[in-house]
Amino acid sequence: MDLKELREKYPNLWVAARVLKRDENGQPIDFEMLCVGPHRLAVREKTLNEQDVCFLCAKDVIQEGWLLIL
Amino acid sequence: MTKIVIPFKDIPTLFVKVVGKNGKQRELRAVIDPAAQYVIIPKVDALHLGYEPGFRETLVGLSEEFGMMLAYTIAGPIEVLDIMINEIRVADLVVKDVLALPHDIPMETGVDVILGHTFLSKLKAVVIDYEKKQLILEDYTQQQTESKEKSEDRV
Repeated sequence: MDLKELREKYPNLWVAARVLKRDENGQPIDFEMLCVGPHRLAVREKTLNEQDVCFLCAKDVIQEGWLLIL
Repeated sequence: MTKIVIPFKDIPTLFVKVVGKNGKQRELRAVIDPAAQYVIIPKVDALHLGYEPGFRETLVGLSEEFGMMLAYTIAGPIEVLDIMINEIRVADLVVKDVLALPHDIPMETGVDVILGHTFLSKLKAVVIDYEKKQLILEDYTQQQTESKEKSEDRV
């Protein structure tokens, strides 16, 4: 699955990501995807031992115009 | 005093860091809801961060029951146990000791956390500027916090 497919076909997928860049208010804007899944529990289970992970929905990546590196 | 200005497009959402009892933290997507009484975080994150809902003993007649509380949502009542979150952070803005409910809001919303009264009331100002498309959070200075706590103690 590429980024275009993720954004267009699967907007309700949940993404666990590592933050690459933040804006001046500390809000994440660039992400590196760690895993993707249909349920919020699935992405948390897959990244249980990772530190500094954030969770978001693929549709927000589209709406907010964030950068998500797969 | 810390003032955070977060731009938004449609709905005023933001990322918050929920800090655990065990030192772990999770960064989750949150929405501001002044009509909600509590902060709501997903059950799985509450457990991961070491917040196991405590069993409060309430005396009912001669028997002890779990301290479940009935929370009313738009979708109907739910039974939950509240937890006290050590810290919720938005960049440099830190709010301590926030009462929250571990509850999963529908995944279709794309949001994990609801920031209700127990978080918002600890801030000096929460402004949703729809004209500028900005969410502004402002906390008290240390001096103001102390005087606010003193006045609350008096009441």
